[in-house]
Amino acid sequence: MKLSSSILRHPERIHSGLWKGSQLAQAQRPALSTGFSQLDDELPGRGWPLGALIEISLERPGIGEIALLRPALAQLGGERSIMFIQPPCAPHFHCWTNWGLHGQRLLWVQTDSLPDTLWACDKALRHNACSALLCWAPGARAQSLRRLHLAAQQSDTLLVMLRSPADTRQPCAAPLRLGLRPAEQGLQVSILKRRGPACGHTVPIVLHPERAYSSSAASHVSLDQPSPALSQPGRRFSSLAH
Amino acid sequence: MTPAALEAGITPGMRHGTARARAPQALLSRRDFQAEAQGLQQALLCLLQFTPDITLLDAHSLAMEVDASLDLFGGPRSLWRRVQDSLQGLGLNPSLAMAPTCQGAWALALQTQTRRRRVLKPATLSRRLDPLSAACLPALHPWLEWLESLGCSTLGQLRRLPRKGLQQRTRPEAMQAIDAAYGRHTPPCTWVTPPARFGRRHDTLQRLEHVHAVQAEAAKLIDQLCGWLQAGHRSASRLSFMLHHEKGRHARPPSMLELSLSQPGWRPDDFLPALAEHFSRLVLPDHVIAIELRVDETRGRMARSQGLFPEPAQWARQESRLLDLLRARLGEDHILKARPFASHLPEAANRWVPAAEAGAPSTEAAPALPEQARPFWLLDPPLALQVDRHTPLYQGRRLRLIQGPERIESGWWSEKHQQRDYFIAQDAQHARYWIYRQRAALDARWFLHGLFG
Repeated sequence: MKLSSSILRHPERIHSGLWKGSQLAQAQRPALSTGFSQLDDELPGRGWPLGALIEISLERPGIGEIALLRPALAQLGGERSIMFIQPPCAPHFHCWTNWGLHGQRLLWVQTDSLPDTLWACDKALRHNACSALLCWAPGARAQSLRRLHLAAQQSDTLLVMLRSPADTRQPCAAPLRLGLRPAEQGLQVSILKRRGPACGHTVPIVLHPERAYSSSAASHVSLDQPSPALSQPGRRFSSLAH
Repeated sequence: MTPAALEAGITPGMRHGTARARAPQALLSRRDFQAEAQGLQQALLCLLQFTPDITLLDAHSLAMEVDASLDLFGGPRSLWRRVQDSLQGLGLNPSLAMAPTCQGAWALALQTQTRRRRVLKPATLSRRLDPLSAACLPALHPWLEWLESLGCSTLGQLRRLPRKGLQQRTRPEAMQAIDAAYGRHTPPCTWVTPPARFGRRHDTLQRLEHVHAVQAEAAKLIDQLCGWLQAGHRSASRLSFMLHHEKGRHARPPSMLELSLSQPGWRPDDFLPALAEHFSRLVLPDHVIAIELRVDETRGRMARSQGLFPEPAQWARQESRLLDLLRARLGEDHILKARPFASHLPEAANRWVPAAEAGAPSTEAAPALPEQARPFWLLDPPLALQVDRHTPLYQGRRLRLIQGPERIESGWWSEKHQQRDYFIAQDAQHARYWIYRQRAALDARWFLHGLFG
C-alpha cells in the first residue's frame, strides 16, 4: 500500500503512539504540567509524564531540584502520599509548609542498601499507593531502572530518579532524561533525552527572582551595621562586604 | 496400606511376622492416632472457610454442607477444586465425594469401584449407589458377614430385601443409614463449633533448618486461621508465631515472630506477603521442630465498599498494605512521617517519627514564611565551615552572603543556649546555602545548616 505523503508528515493520524524524529511525540496519558512554561514547551505532552521513569542528573544535592518539581507536586491530589526513598539529607518540613504543600502527606523512607532501595521503589509502584515517588539510588544499573520503568507503566505515579552525572553516562530506558546545573536565578535544565528531536539549548528556570535593588554588580547586603565603612584612599575593602 | 503392598500379598488384619515374611522390604510403621486426630482438626479448621456447617462422621471423615456456598465459590466444580487444593496444601491426601445426602456422599467417598464421585441430583444418586457394595455404609459393618451369607452384596440388592425382615434382624441404625443414603430420611447433624480462641501447634515431621520450609508450614497455619476467622466473621491484625527448637539437653527457648498489620485482615492474601518479608529477614538459631500460632484478640469485620471508582478509603488500604510490607523488610523506624515540634531551632522543630505511631497531626502549624526563607535539605548535625579571609568556605568554594541576617535564639533556660545569625549564601556556581554564625562565642564559627533543594 502506498502511503500518501500527508500521512507520512503526520504519523499520529495512524496511531497516537507514532511520531517523527523531528516532532515532539504526543503523550499517551495526560501529563502533569511542570509549572514553568518554557520547560512545558520542550516536553512531549507539555509536562511531566505520569507512569514513566524520569531521570534527573545533578552533580550535588541542593541546587533546586525539589523546587523544580514543586509546582507539579502541588497539583497532585491529596489522597495518596508522596514518598522520598533514601534522600541525601533530611527533608525540612518547615520548607514543605512554606511552599504550600502541607496538604500532601510526605513519607521519608530510609534504606540501608541499594537492593532495599530498589525493592521499596518496586513495591510502591506495584501497589500504586503513592502519587509521587522520588528515589535516590546511586549505583543502580540500567537493568534495574528498566524494571522500574516497566513497573511504573502499570501505575500513574510520578516517578523521578535523581542520580549523579557519572551514573547517567550509561544508556537508560527512561523516556525523559534531564540534566540540571545551578544558574544565576535558579537552574539551567538541559534535556538529554526525550520523545522528540534533540534539544540543543538549555532551558533557564527562574526559582528566585532577583530583587530590584540588588541587581547591581556590587550588591550590598543589608547587615546590622551602625555605620557604613568609609572608604579611605589606599585601604582595601574587606571581601565580606561584597 | 499401599497398592504395592496389596500386590505383594499383605492383607489387612495380618500379623506383623506374617507380613514381614510375605514382603521383607515393606516398611511397617506404627499407627499414630494423635497425628491422625491432629490432621482431622487441621482439615476441619481449614475447611471452615468454605462453610460453617461441618460435622465429624468418624475418626477419618468429615462432612460439609455446601448448599449455600455453591454460588459463592463459582459452582460445584470450582468448589471441589478449591477444597482439594486446600487439603492437599495441608499435606493430606483426601478422598472427596459430593452428593445430595450426607450418607450417600460418605458411601461414595469410601468406595473404590468407580471414580465418578460427584452427584448433583437424587435420581442419579440412586443409580450410583445401587452397584456399590454394602461395606460402603459404615453403619452396616456388624452385619456384613450375614449379608454375604445371604448372597446380598450390593446396596441395590439390599434395598430389594423385605423391609420388615431387615428391621427385625438388624438394629434401627442400619435402616436409618440406608434411608439417609437414598434420601428418604434426613437425620439431623450436629455441627462442630469452632474453638473460642485460636491456638494451634503443628509438629513438623522433620527437623527444619531452612527458612523456606518453616515458611511453608506457617502458611498452612495461616490457612487454618483464616478458616477459623471466617466461621466467626472476625478479623485479626496481630499474629504471634512461636518456633520451638530442640528439647532435652540442647533445649532453647522458642523464637518469637510477631506479625502486625495496620489494618485487620481475614484472607490468606492479607497475611502472606508480610509474612514472606518477615521470614526473609529471619535467622534461625537452631532446628525447628514445631510451629505454634496464637491470636490473642480479634475484631469484627468492617464492610469493604464495592464502589466502581476508587475511594479514599481504598487508597488508605493500599497504602497501609504497602507500609506493612516496607516495615516488615526495612524495620519500623525506617519509615518516617513528619511531626513538627514547636521550637525556634530548626533541627528541633524538624522532628520525624515512625509512620506506625498513631497520632493526630499536630495542630500547631509553623509560621508561614516567604518561600525562599527555608532550605529543603537540612543537615543534621550542622557542618562546621572553615574560614578564609573572613569568608566561609565549603568544599573549597567561597560563599558570598546574599541575604540575612535572621537571628534565631532559643534555649536560654538551659545550658544549650543557642544564638545564631542565619544567612543565605551563594557560591561561584550560584548554588545556595543556609549558613549561620554563632554569636556568643568569642571566635564566631560558621556552620552550614541546609541546602536549598
